[in-house]
Amino acid sequence: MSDGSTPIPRPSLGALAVCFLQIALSSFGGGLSAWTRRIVIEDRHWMTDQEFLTALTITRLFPGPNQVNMAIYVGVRFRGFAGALASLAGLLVVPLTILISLGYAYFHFHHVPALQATLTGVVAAAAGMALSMGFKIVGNYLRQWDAMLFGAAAFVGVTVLKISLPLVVLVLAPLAMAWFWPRGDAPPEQS
Amino acid sequence: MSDDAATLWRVAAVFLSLSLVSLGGGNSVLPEIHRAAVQQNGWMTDRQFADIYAISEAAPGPSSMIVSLVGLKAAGVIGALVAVAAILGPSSLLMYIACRTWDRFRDAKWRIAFERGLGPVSLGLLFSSGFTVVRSSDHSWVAYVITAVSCVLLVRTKISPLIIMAIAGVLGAFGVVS
Repeated sequence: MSDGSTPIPRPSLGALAVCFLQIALSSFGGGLSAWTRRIVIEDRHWMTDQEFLTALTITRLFPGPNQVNMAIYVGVRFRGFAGALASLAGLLVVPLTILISLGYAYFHFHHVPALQATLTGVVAAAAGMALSMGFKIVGNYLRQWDAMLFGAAAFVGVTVLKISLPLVVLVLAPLAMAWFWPRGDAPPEQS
Repeated sequence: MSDDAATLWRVAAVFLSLSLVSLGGGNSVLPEIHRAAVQQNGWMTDRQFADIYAISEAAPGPSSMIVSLVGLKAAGVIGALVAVAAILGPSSLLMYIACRTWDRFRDAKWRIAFERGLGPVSLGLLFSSGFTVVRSSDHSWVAYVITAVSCVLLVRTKISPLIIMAIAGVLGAFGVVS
């Protein structure tokens, strides 16, 4: 993970579109968030893990598909309105063309059973990918008991107690913000 | 107004009304999309809806793009594009405004606190969505094993996820998984 001193490159509109096209095309069978993290952070170093987590939460709190919101977030961050449009075009144009073609074929020629069987395997592997994302990031927080506590509380709230996600965030976010409020003028430390 | 134009308006109205309530990711409105497509407007059968759901899950891109197939069945390719524009338009505009506002407070203390505090909370939520995906995807012990192996390989190695999914797909095609 980069320390604050590494300058963050400013991708061009074309680079944004290609990045999100790559994310979209990699995500056969789901797992878009995991692919976003891999492609935006591991491959391109456009963001830190912490910024990615913040972006992920904002994109999930607002209405709309997370990945579409993420494309807008990343696009706006680097290139404003045009950046958002470039990222969205990258994310949507090719997949939509493929999906509409598949749909057209389906409604006209009907479905293939072998596809269903193949999908069960792909979907299981994709689930592993969704799960891997948390394990990759958790290393950044393992030594901070307070961060781990907030993380555990969110997980328990949503998965064990089955409280709705917006409610969990509305309760935990203010508490976490108060706990991690920056004291003094020191720049925020990155772990 | 011709029937075609009326259907197109209907598609637009259905998905515009769902755009801003699709909280927590697009799939939270899936039951609503189903109701609109099957019961309310009779655009397709229940079985067809289940099939296009599988197709849209497997195809690349956001899974909520299922709306394009509903639009396609209801009003052709134009219908598909109208459906996507309708469901994404309002929410995307809102997200854009939020991002612009967000940028203006780059150095504010509350924003620093927000980023530091939300990181751990989001981490917990990340594990939650991982569990949700696993629960809805895996229906046999073989599937759980594939999920676990894929997770460990992705965390511990640099093997491309595409390779892992391809292998899992081949296992599935041979009927190993379910």
